Amino acid sequence: MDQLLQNAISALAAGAIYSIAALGFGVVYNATKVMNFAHGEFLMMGALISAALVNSAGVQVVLAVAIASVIVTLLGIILDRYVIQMAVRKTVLTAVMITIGAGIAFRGLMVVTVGRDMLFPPAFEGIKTVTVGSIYLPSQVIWILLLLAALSVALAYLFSSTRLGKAMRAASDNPRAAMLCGIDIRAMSLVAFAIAASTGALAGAFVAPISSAFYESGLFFGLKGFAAAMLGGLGNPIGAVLGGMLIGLIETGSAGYVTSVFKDAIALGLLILVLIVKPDGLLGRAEAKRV
Amino acid sequence: MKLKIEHLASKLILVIAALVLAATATAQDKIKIGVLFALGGTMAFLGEPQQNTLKMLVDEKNAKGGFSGRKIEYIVYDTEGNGTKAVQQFRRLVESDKVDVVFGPNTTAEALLIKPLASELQIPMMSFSGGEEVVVPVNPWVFQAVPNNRSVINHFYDYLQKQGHKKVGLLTATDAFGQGALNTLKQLASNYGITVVSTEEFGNKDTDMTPQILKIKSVNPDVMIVWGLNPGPSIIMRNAKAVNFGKPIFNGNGVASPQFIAQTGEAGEGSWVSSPRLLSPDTLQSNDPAKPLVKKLFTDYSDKYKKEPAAFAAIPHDALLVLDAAMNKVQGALTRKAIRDALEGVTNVVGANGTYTFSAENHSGLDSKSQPMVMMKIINGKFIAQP
Repeated sequence: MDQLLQNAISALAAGAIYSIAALGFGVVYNATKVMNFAHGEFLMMGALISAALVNSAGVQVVLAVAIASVIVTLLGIILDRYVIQMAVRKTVLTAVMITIGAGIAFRGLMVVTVGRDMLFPPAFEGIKTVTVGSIYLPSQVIWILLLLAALSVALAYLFSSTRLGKAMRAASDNPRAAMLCGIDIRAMSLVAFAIAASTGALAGAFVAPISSAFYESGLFFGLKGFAAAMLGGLGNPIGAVLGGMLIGLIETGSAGYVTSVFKDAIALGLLILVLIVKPDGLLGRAEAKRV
Repeated sequence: MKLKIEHLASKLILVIAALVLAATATAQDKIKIGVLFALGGTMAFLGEPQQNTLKMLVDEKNAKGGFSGRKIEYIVYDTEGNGTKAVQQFRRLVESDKVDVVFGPNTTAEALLIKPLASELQIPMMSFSGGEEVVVPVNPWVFQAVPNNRSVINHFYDYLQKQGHKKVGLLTATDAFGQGALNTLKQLASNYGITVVSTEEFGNKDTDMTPQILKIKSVNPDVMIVWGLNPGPSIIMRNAKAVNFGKPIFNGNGVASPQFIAQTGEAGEGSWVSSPRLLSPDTLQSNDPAKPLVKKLFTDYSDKYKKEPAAFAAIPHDALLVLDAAMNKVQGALTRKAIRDALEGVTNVVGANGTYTFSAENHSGLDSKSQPMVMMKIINGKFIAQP
């Protein structure tokens, strides 16, 4: 029983990390239809910059997370304004390729500025680890769950109920019509990248005390986040949470009760199955096109 | 006109002959080592400290006249840990730089690609990677200057047996490093009266290994063996502490670095790490023949580079010692063939990583008898070598 409960908590922790990585994919997709493969690097940079500030410079955690978030947001804006928007042929595919290249550049940037060291910043203060009998819920997981809840609700509200959110969706659905209605498409894309980068950096900084901050971990966040976003339904923040939690649950379940050797294969195999049956993901809206 | 050309040609031949003579003359009083290190890319953590050691020792040696009167010259190329690059740079060293012997590369994957090339180009090489496949089956031209998987794990199990542990749970990484160890761990267990009661795996970048740890805990082994590269093992130590794993945890040599202690903090306290001696020279047993060498290397390196050497920084140190011993055996002209033959006859050279003995059948200088590793225990935030 104890083992079952503890595994359930592990599933929750892993799921929360995947979900929080998945959120940013949807934001950029909603405004531009672009799959931003540099998104994992936003998390990595948020984690690495804040961890370096805390561990080496002795900066307070709150301040370090804020600084990291601002720097990464600027990098996200630069990526959109001065790289993706400068592309001569603006197709979705070009933009996707650019984000892959940018991801590699971000990794290099971190190696040069922060270094190759793997950092474990201390867990955030303010919340205590919950222990009941032999079962424990780490305080950092509670922090991640709180951030996840706040971000997913805020993003869901943004896209369903605000003018800005609707304008962003319009800009990607039909750019020309949106332009005719007075929506500044480039601004929408810029806002989307800024939101993705800042939330990504926050997520990375929150996850770092558990998973370490390392210049190579962006690929891991990117892969898991992408899988979670696809499974839940691209562009739907609640879907991202559902997708992430499901992958976490399946991975932990197979590691704890079947075999840890195939846990990734089982989780990603299931993703393929879902996409065959429901190509838009669990909560994705089917795209209707007039022919 | 014709006469003039003939005259010129004969002069040219003279000049060329003189150059060739000069070249062979200098070739006789120096030895040229080609070096393949991973200096960029993800494996750079291996190449960089080793390059530092090599530079420091070659400078020191040359100041004292080199290898029995021969100056040492070396050329380093960066492979970035990439097999294709390693092969290209290997050819470049052998064919255009005309080196006498090759040191490196750092990873087993690279070494295996170069292995057939070494016999094709007839050049002796000392691999700095620990895969057993590099020297089994024996390639006459390929030697190994680091303890391989098998000798590391033999030492590991030998230690567990002496401590009276019989049932082990394995938790290994899914990458090549973890998988190589897993096979050998399973294969050698019965030789030491040890039963593997559970095998679990983890991805090096996974964020939570609690389910695997709980599963191992539920079958109640005497110890848990963790084999992987960070951050995975660091996270395992933290998870294990959180769920009160309670049994001793033994780590493979992938985490033998001060960073492991920094990353695990209290959670690492009391755990064991199989490690090369250089990690903690002062705590070695006083009857350890390698102790003075290790201490000197540690002090020299720390003084010169203002930071402690990584544990595997001793590899070039030992490779130079072995090469020195081989050079002393070379009689007559210094050819690649002569160096190869001499390397095969090197016996009982005490290095920082153990005592090296090569033979025609065994091209790995360090087997388990030569004590290539020591078991360290983390006590009060420090690695302490255990008897």
